[in-house]
Amino acid sequence: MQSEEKPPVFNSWRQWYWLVLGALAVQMVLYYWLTRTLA
Amino acid sequence: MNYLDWLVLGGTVAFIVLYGVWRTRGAKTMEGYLKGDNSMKWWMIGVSIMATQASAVTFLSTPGQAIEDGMRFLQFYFGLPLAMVIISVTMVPIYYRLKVFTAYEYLETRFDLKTRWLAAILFLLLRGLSAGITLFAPSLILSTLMGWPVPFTTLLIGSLVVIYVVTGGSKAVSITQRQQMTVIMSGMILAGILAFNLLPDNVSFGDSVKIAGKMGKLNLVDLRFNLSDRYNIWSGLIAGTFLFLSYFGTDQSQVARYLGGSSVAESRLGLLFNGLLKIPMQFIILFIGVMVYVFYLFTQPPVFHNGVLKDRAMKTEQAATLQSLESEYNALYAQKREAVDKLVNAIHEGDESAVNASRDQVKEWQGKEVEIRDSVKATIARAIPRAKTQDRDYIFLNFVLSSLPHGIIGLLMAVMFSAAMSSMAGELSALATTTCMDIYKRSNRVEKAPEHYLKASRWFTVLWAVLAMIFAMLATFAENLIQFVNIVGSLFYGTILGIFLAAFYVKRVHGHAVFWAAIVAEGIVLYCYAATDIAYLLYNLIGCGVVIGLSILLQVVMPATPALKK
Repeated sequence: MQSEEKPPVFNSWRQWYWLVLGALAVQMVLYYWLTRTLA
Repeated sequence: MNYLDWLVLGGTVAFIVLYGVWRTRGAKTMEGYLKGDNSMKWWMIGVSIMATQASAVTFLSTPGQAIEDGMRFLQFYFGLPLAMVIISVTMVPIYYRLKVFTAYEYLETRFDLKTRWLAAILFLLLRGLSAGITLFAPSLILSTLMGWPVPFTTLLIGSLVVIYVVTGGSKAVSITQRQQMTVIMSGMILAGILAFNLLPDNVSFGDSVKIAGKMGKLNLVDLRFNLSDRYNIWSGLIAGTFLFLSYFGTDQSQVARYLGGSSVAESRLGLLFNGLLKIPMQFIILFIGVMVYVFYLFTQPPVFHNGVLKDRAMKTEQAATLQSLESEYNALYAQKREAVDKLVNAIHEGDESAVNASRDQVKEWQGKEVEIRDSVKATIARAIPRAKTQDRDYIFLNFVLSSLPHGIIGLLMAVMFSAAMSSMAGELSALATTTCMDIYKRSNRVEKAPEHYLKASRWFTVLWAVLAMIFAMLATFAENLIQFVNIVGSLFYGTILGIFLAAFYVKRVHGHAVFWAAIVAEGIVLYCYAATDIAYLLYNLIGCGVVIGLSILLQVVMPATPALKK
């Protein structure tokens, strides 16, 4: 069990972390847009 | 509920319990019982993490929260993906390297025994209280449905969970959570679709979303910075991150889920899976609540959603007052419905000024409805002293029971039971593991055989289940269940997280300093709760900040612990 294990799909864990953070950013922008548009 | 509903509910619950017992009947080692033999794949970990977090409270209380307060509760979860990344980077590799059973074992390696015990005891306190609430919610449903006493329904549900957790331990928890999450998500999505289908034919999905938006229910993001506001983007991102770091990184009920992974990579992927899916899942649950709100614009809602309590009040001398208020409420609905129809027509015509005028009319009638509902609650409180008159947690349940077809009602009841069982099972398993490994085993002067501790773990599971049942029977004071669970968590999590962050990142701080800083921090957090109106999410930040800051200061004036001097 090594912490340096290569992740699936991406080349590094860093790319996985950016995917999660990017998805969060996209969702926050989307929800803000929905709030502004539909309120 | 008819025979079909009972068949669906009974069949689902019985299948899950029996499947859990059958699949894990051979758990005979400590590794197998407490860590599931480290055999979990990433998707099982992800599902297990989500199922442990989502209790029946989530599915009962969250739609009610959306109906009354809109979708702004979603912001509470914005810190979760950040926490998942931080835990994947820092905590997971350390826990794996040390091969710990519990997160608190690490604290003895890093600090000393008393700090390990302090963190373990704080965890046992908060998780023990939460387990009671987790059990209380479905017990209340069954009690409301059948007219059975809450103590009996509490005992029934608690016993079902104990059967498979005692048999299979952590592995049984994870295995059954897969079935439970399938039931939960399919049932909730079906309820949302049916709520929309029950709207009048001239109201499209787009119309219902526009109506909800105009009525202020799609308040998803609030950018204003306000320390006393519980839900805005800043409290979610800052305080929420601390809360979720603490919950997923240091709460054994969650740590146990990913410690059961077959590798660091599987555990990390499980956590990231949760980081990607948790916010959309909460969005769906809150949106279902909004659909139910729109449904109740076109269908008259009851004046009070806890029908059993209202019926009891109707048998007292307050019956005449209640009847008069109900008649007034019914008459009001006809006028509100007229305003709602005007709002729909204005939306169809695209006339913005007419839309706003109709919306204001609907809001005016809603304001009057609220006044009557408040009077009803006050009347019920006079009729039945000490009765819980907050009916928000009953709104969704009432919608399911009064508006959905038979069979689906049974499925939705199975959703509540599955959610309650999945989170309670995770909690009981973690409470038993921590009590056995951190307190009992560590206190024994003479090392005993592994079989002894395996047996002790099973008995501790039963003990915590009994305590949770007792607390559930006393839990009727909680005004809003989901908020109460989160408040209880926030009272202790900040301090626990502070201890762990000091351990990970502040290398020069030793055991004495952290221990006393944690004691002071917990006192400050409890003071904030009792004497200030600071938003509860911020307790996490305060507790954590005080532990880290004060421990650094104390380290300057305190000598290092003997263990570290060596």
